[in-house]
Amino acid sequence: MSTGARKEGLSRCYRDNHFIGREAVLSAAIGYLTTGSGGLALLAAPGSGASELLFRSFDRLFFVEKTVIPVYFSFAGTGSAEQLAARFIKSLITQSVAYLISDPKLLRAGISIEEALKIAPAKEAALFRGLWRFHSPKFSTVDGDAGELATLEVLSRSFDAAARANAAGLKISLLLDDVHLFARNHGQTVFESLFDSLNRNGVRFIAAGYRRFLYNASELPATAIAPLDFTDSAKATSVISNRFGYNLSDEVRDLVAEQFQGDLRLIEAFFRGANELGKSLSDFKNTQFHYVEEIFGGRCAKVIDRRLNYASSDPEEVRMVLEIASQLSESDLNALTVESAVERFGFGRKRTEKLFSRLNESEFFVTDAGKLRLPAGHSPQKDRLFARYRLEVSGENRALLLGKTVLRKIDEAPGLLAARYKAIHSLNLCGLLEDFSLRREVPEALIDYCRFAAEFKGAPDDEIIRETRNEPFISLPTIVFSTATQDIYPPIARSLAREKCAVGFGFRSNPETRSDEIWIAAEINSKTEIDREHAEFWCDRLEMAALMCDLPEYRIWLVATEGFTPDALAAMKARGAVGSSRRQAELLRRFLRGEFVQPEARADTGEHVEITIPMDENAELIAAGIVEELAKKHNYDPKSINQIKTALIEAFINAAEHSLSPDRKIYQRFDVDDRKFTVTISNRGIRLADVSPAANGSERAKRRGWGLELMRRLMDEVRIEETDDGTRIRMTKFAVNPD
Amino acid sequence: MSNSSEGLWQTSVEPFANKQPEEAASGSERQAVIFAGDYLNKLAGESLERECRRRLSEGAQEIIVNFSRTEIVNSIGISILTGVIDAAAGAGARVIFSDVNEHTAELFEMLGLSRHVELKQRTN
Repeated sequence: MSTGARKEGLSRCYRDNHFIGREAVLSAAIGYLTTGSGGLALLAAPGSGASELLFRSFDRLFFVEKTVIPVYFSFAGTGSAEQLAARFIKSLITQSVAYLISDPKLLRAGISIEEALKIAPAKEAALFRGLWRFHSPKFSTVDGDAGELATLEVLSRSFDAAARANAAGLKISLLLDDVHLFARNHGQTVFESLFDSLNRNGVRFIAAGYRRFLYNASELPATAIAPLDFTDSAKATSVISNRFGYNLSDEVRDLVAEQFQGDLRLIEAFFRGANELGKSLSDFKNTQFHYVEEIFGGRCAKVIDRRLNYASSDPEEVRMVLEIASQLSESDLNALTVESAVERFGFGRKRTEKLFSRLNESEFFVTDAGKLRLPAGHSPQKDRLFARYRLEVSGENRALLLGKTVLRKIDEAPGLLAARYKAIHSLNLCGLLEDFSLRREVPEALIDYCRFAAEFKGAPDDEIIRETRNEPFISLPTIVFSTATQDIYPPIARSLAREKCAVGFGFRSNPETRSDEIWIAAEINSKTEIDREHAEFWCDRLEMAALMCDLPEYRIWLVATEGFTPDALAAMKARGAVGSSRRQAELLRRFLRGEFVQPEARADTGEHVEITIPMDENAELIAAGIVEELAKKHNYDPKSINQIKTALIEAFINAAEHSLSPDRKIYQRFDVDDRKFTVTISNRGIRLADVSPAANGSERAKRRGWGLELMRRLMDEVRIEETDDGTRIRMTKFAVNPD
Repeated sequence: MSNSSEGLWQTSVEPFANKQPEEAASGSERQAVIFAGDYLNKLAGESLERECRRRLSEGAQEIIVNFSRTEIVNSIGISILTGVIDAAAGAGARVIFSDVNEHTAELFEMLGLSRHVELKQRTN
């Protein structure tokens, strides 16, 4: 993107080139708007910068790419369907004219349609006149208030102009913003029909809106943007504060970033308000004071109230929302059902459900199996709801409440950041458990502290990386889903912070059987090795979680900063628990992610051959022939060569016989050097573990299972893995030492 | 031979023809010598089994399966051989596997066939 002269495009907030945390999705959006067909939904969390993304996409297309005509249109604002339709046509024409005559000033000039038609290039002027004439709603033949059908007709006629323009040779790409407001104001059916029509007509567009709304309401392919993570949020806070003349200290910057949870719209409102009032933001005290002022009635309050307006603008419903928020935060009740709300507040079921749905979409609340609950953690939205409840419903004195709130927020500030820093430096056990799926087998020394302490404690990382290759390996379950343990067992939160305890749901499988295995992992901070008493304490806590959640097959994994005493390890082993040090866990993560260099990849003298062979009669002999040639070349003895060939043939015919492969192909890879010969053979189809045993149970049928036995006995290592759609068998034969 | 990342690998391979089992002339009418093919797979195994059963039904008292031409056997072929052994046992006949190479003998040993049949290894 050019760093040259000042642009007059749509994006006026941030002139700096780098779009923090969004460069990848920006590139993807531009790519789609340039070459895509039909619609793409952009699912956005409120305040996550979707509008800015569209602005930047527009500017990039307008000033740099210049291959399509970008047209930005927001559905924000009230007005009838006719007004919306007219606004769209006008935007389409004026922005197209601005592009065609390369005059970006027209984008903000607010010119009339007549002026735009006058200055349009001669070649396109007739087209634009026609679009205005035939697609503008003032020429609509639909009578007044005729309901959704009429609305759809008016809007369809207007939006069809984009397809018409495309058909005439103009390459229009639409950037549609706030589409959730369109559905709210004009109905779900109209929304679905209109976007379906645009999509079918091949009009290229991105539709940005609240993610929870769009996810359910749209069948379009989608991409998403979430609130910025802490690191990017802190960077964005720096940039935004600089724009308003603030040069924040690192700690104030982090406090603001943490306070607003990546909500860029609120961060901007915060600094704009501070700038307008000449506020100092030099320390926690005055920063928190300004934060409370903003929540009580500043710019931030306005932004949040506008979002709440999406859910409801009815005063009675808003009051209900404030009461619910207060009730959920202050009582033991952590969720409210629709039935309870109907009974308590007297609104009909349909009305209550609609309100719950909108509150979920605007992310003030979360709906979960028909219940409404407050999102976990702190947020400016929650602070605003609580403040409004106490002012508007409880009728508390404003000055008194403000004073108390400021004191509380100042007191909370250090703890807020401490919790964030702890989260940043935590192991991320959820992610680590899910990384188990990356590799099925790991060096035992990377997970068993007993082994690690005996051989590797104190050794540098590169030595550990090198030596663990030769260590015995153990297999891990495949973890398919992990979450914080407190999500399934809330009482654990009293003992362990959210990020310190995770549960991973997984399974183990081999050709004969498959069993579930659930790991409950906890990270324990300690300056010294954990002793027996403390190890058993934590095992008790986690076992309680497993029992209360009725987890059938579970394993406890404790990760302690400095590991465990031998006594503690013995106690844990007796309970089937595993103990690791933090260093082991970090190395384990690196191993699982392939950051350890694997021996095969470093085989300088090795060969790697990949072949694909159809499952034809005797095709396995082709592979056997290749194996023989490779093995001879690397001086393997005849006996080993025969064994490798036979094992390969067995794997091949096993796949051919049982897999019912859809492509009838077997994929093979041979990795061979002077030390070992590895054969990897994979196929699509029914997985080995899912093949039913012979129905008749005859001796002959049983003998047909000899293939696996032969593989295991002929080769030194055999690993059978299930892939998503098939089986992979990896067999290794070590070269015989001639001495 | 060069490395190839994917696709059908074209190579020249000594053709392993699935020859039909042969019946050798023998001194005794009650002894049948049947040659297994170079690759004892399912097809070859079934063909061999059919021939053995035929000879047994004709009254053979001794079945000699000659593996002098056999370089490779797979587990399906081996499982079919157990059928041959069972059929012979049922007919009160004796089965000998002759000229078995070392590798094939190892496979028979692994899968327990050598307990039920006399093995005579190939002498090179």
